[in-house]
Amino acid sequence: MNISEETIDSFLRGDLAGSELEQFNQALRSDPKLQQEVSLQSDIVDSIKQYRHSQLKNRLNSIEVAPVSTSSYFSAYIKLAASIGAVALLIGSYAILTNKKTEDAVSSSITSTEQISAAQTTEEQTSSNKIAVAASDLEPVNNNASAPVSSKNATTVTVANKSDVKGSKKADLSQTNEPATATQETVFSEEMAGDEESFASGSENMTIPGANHDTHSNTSTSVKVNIVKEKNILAYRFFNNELYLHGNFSNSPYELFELNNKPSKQLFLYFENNYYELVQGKTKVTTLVPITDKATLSQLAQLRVH
Amino acid sequence: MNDQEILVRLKQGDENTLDLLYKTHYRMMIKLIVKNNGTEEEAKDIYQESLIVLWQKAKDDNFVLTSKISTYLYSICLNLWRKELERKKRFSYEVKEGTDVMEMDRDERIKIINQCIQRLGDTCREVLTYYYFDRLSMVEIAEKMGFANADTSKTKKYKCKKELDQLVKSLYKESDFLD
Repeated sequence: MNISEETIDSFLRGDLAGSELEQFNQALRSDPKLQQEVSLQSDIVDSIKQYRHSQLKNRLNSIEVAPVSTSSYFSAYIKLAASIGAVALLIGSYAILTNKKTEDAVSSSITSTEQISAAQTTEEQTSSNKIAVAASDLEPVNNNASAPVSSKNATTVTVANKSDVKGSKKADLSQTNEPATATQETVFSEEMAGDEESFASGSENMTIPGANHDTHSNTSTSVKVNIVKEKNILAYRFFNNELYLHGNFSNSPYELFELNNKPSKQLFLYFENNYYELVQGKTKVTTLVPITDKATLSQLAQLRVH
Repeated sequence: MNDQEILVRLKQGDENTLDLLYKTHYRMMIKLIVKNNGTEEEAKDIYQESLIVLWQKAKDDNFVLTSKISTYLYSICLNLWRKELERKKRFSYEVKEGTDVMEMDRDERIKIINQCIQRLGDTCREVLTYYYFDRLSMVEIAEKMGFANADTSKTKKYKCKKELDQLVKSLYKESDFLD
């Protein structure tokens, strides 16, 4: 058997099999020089592998994670106790307010909640106006965004108008008092009540808006975008650190999101009711595949409304 | 992203997905080791090792995961930790014998090789590590590195390996181990 460098390489990589492998082993047994060469090559390949192994390990090691010691549980309980205490205070003060005052006071507090809800709707309108200004071609999307927001506010207003407040959830209460962050908090507690495994263990590091300081998203990304007008295709590629979107983007608006998950960034595209992930390494034109994972979709939807 | 999608991405060499996995299961795995007499530092080390095992396994076409990824990682961590506990036990009873000459020679050789790997250009090092460790195909290497096509990868890998071989052999001769 003519032992070439290529054969030794295949052998070391584990790609030789059957009769080829047997022939190689035979040659190895009878040729000391070959043994020496294979031994050296084996060390070289092992070192290359070891280098890469360490590289990956260092990468993982430099990812920020919250320490898992008993003190962190303690501080978590403190935070929980504090927030429960704050809520109890709010419930208590509201109850006292409605109990002490007369019918007039009750109706005035109802009108004040109406005012709050009015403030909420104007708040939501001004914020939706801001969205319209920030991204110029987003008008059709804008209407979709404000619709779910207003329906959420509608439900909380009806709850707040009832004089029996004690039965209501924490999230609803916080909405009547903090209109600006209302929708975010509701969704946050809904998500926490959801799949514990996927969220709780990584909640410090996942991209829940408003709750995590490490990540942020913006519709203005740091990547230059080029549109390549094509029919019947929806694809993308990265070239020279610029993004090329292939397809017909002139009839509907699109949005780009950038999530800063240290140490790397993730780019997403929203177009025609679908979310797509844009993977940085793709230098060849890659078809855009809609994201189907519900958890990711709800996160992305949150970011878009934000 | 469900487990199957994660495995597909790992197979493609998507390091971001590896990062995500790391963060997702960090607490659970660290708790496992810590509850079994490990420090958080030891736990971190074992967990990182288990992820690299998964990284390599994902490349294997014959690898079929029948449980959840978290379950699989859990069992790898358990095994690695058991081995580590045994190793620690052995150390306390055995005195380490003096390494023989052959081993010393090999250690020296590995040192030299590592120096040479450091000396390689970034591109060469990346191509070689992706080829031998990550076991990416020539096409995947081309995509990842931004090469024109698979043939470019093949040529590049060949040249880089040759360069490394020559570097090693020249330094090796200098250190004069062979009689």
